[in-house]
Amino acid sequence: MIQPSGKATISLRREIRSSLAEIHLLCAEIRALLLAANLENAAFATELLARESLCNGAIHGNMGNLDKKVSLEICADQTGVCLQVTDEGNGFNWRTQCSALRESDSVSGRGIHLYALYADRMEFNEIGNQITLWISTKANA
Amino acid sequence: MASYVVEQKDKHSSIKLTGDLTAELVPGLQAALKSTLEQGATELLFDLQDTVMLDSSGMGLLIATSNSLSRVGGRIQVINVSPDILQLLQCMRLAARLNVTGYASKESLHG
Repeated sequence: MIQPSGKATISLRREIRSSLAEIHLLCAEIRALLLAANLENAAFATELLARESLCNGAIHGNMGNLDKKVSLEICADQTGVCLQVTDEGNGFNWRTQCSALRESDSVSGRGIHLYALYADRMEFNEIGNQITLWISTKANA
Repeated sequence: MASYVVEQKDKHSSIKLTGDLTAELVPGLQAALKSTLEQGATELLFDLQDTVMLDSSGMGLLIATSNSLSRVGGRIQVINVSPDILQLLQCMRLAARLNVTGYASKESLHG
């Protein structure tokens, strides 16, 4: 289980199907929780990275298979947010992912760059089907 | 649920979004954009006044639209974006390519 650095203001665990509609609903819930907890400074970055990691888990990790689940765990306090997303796929070789910015006319492949822009720290598990992101509440990007 | 309205007059099309430009909205919007381009639109104006979130799928759609327009000498413009979305597009080096402007700085393609 992930732990915030201080006393948790928000603590949420959810497991959803690999469905864009369910991802949208979960992200709406996250947005509402952060705003209600006066964590506006982290709300956009957190929702953006939650969406990115959930979609990656559902589409790439679980191959869009509705029978496979994506789980999310989030903890937050006034210092920042810790977000962890896990899919049921076989993972990917994150070590070889290029961190360079794609050409500006590239239609896809910006996920890693978004994580790097908005998260203070990111970690993949060994096989690459789980990502953990730390986002501070100071000014984003 | 997010929605959009596409209005076309000759070569000019405006797309007004209500809600977020994210993966869930992209398939339907993509089909609508394809239709307006097939009907001769070369100047597309996206109004994101009511949009709080833009994810990588939404960015991909805007880029693909820009690429399509470039091939026919057309232009895309994205207006009334929130400060968060403006910063995102600037950091992703897309703001200039997509002709992005923020709140209260509308610059209409229609003059």
